[in-house]
Amino acid sequence: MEPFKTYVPEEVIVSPRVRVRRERMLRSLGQLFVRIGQLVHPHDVVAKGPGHTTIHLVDVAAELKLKPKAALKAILVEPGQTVKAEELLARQSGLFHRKELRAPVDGRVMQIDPLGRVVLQVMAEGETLRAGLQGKVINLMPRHGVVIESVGAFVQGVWGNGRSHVGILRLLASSPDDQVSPEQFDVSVRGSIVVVGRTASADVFEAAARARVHGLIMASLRPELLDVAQQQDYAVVVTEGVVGAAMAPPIFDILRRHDGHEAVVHAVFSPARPRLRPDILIPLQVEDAPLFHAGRPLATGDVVRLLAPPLLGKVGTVRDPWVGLGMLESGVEAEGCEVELADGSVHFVPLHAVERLTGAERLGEEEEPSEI
Amino acid sequence: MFGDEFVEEETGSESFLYADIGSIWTRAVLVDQVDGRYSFVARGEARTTLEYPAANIVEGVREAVQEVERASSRTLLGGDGESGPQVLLPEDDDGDGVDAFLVTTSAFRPLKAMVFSTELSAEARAALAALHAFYVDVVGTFTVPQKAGGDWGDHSLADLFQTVDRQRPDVVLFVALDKAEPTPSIEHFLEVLNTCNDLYDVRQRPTVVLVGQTTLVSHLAAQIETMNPVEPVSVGEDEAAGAREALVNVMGKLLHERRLARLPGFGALQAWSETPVQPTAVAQARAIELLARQLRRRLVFVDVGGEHSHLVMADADFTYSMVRPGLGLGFQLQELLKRVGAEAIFRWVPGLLPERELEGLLIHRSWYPCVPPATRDALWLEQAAGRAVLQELVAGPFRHLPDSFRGVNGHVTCDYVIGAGGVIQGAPEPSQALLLLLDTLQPTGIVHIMRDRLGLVPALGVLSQTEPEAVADLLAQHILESLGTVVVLSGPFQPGKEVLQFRMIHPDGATYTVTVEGGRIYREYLAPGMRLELELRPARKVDVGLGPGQPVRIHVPGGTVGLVIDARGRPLTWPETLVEQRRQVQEWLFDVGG
Repeated sequence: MEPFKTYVPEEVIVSPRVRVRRERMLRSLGQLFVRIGQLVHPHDVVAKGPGHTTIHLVDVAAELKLKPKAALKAILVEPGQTVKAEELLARQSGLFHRKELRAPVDGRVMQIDPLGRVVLQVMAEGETLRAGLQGKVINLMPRHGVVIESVGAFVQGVWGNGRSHVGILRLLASSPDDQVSPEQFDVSVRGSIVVVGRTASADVFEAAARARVHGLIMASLRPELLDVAQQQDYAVVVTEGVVGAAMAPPIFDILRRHDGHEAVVHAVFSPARPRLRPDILIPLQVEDAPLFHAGRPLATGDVVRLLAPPLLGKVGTVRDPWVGLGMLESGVEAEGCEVELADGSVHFVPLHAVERLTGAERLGEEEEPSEI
Repeated sequence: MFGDEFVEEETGSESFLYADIGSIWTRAVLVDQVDGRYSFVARGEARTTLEYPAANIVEGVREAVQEVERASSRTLLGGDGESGPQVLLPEDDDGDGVDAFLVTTSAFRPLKAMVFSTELSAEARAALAALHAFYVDVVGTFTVPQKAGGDWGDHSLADLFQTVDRQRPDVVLFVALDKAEPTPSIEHFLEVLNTCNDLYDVRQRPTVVLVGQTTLVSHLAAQIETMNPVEPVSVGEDEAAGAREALVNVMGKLLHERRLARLPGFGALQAWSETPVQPTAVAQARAIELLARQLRRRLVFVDVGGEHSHLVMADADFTYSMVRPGLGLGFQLQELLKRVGAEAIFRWVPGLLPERELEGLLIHRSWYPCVPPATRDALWLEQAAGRAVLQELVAGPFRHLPDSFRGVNGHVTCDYVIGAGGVIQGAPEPSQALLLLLDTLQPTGIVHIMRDRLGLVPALGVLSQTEPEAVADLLAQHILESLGTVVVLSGPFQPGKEVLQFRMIHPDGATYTVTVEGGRIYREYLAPGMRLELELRPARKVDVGLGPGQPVRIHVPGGTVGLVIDARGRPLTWPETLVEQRRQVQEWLFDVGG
């Protein structure tokens, strides 16, 4: 039996030119608004889901600053009653004041609880599904969703704050290790997707919000700033992680090449779904591009990012994709590969501690883009 | 260590392949008969392939089995059909394939359940305790009010609706063991259930499990089955205690229908195996229960998983199994850090790596749970996180211990502790695994500690139903790694003061006496398979499990760590600052040779 082992690594796409196909699926069956072959822009609505019932709780006691008993007296509606948005829900009149509370939404009163809360049953609007990227509709899944294809430079990150935006890519960082200051966020970056280099401070997040950017792209983010990033209205994509690494050179190189071009940032992240990665797409007006195929085994020449200390965040090239078992400094035994770093040093790295930067090996072959 | 207590019977299968599909790792183990006895042959592991691009659990199983093929030089997969190679059954004359293929899995989200009851009697509580063994996340517990408009236990009706809206439970459990006929409050429950159903898509409505007396259950089932799927659990008027067993069966069925059977690739995998694919924790609990019954000993079993962790306590008459969904060393680590705070985790990390760096590494680990700890710091951090998970797991159950498990000062005591899960079975030094279990469970008395190095405990649970002699053979061959015997000293004592003298009496008559100081851990080498006589003379108020100052003379088995005397006291006490605490942990680790 052949002792050699093939190993399919984790991978992120870092490609100067790739054909991206993205499924845009509704959470429940709905209606599609596009046809095959149609060209779409990121903000175009491609499908809508059905409305669904949800609950809206109106805390009359808290809103009118009343005790529960008083709130119950002030409530003007009854269970079963239908109310319109802005319709009067509760009123309390005193000698010198009058307090009123209106329904925030259309709904039906399900219940009024003893704490002075009105439970409204609300028909929520259905999900609106937008294209999310510029491209062509290549497949329809009736009532479920669509597949959109686009060609462009494409970079996947490791963490995102859940927002999606479009904007002009602006490089404020001059190198993968650079760090920008809040003062650099002036009116010229409004509506842009800004590349800030190694990391961002809390001040930078604030300055970016004031400048109304559409996105920030950075290599690393300190753990205590994850919540700050999460709260921003603009998209935030972290390309490396939380341990202070500089931006991987192939990623910085792609972003640098496209400074001034339109980019679509899709900052999705779900720790429960590690392969759902945030990404940055810079659409290119070219037809010819390879299609990405996931699941290729690790091979000699692959560009990889290392995921375990002491080499965490380093980028290198695979010299031998499988060299058998090795003993790590921790005493743990693991199967590994051999990786050569930029300084020429060669290291044994556990197989599960490499992540392929798929497409990065083609960076040297690609010309600088002349026009988009 | 184990094995002689089991009765051997004749069965047909000579070799079997076992696969456990966890949320992060899929592991496969090959067991075959060697000289007429079942023996471990080889194991393999691969990442679980629930996610893109494979999005099919079968891929991960194939990869793990291919690892076993490489390690054992045997062909176990074949038949390149449309759906790819599958496990060859049965074993042929050339030794290819296996006679049986067993599968367990925990790679699914927990079932969400809402519990409604008319009155929570002791019987009802006992029945509900059974839920915890089935990966159930109870998202709300409500007491049905006597009349409309009343409170639902500690909650209002608004809370109830909000819980349904946010959580969308899979199961609604209604318990009314004290009622024989419908009452206005039960009618009120039906109205509320009807309203809650409006929040669901018709095909996704929760299954209603009705636990109560036969007449009431029949009446309610007839009304509810037009709205929701119903599972009746009927018990006679004086048979409330029987509700537990019936509920166990129903929850097993629901877990299968609503989770296991919906795993991508489940159908293909089930088609390879004659034995039903089982939830890992259910199989583990069965194995531990079997061991406890046969040995007539008290066992505590803990498993630290990627997404779920599991505790089993069992003795000759009692079994308690609790799965904590969402508590593990996978992506929930970030949540754990928020919940318990940095100090609760980082105090267990020896060394000087700054807290900020530890936090970054911990979050990185939660994003990349497959990455092995390459440096000592990364290893200490992983084991520290394992300690935090275990402490969370046992905190609740250890506050309400049954009498047989209550030791000195209310701390747990038992005869055997068995640890499982990657962080324990993968600890490169056995002493690290032993100390991890000792630090978190903090048992008292004299305890033997083992680890499930091969991850075979769930397989024993599955095998116990069909191949009991394989269980006996495997246990006789030390598939559980014996780490060692630990003597724990409890009572008021000062660090540095003499608390115990012990004498080791070797089989050849040689003796060796040691004086133990409070606050320290001692380790004496005593190889696996060896036993020696031990004479313990505790100081006046010091307790080794038999009462303050009581001396004892016992025979103890050895292990890969040996004999450990834990004189740190219970509960463990900590210096004031985090830096001192980390230094303290470093000393403990050094004492046991970790």
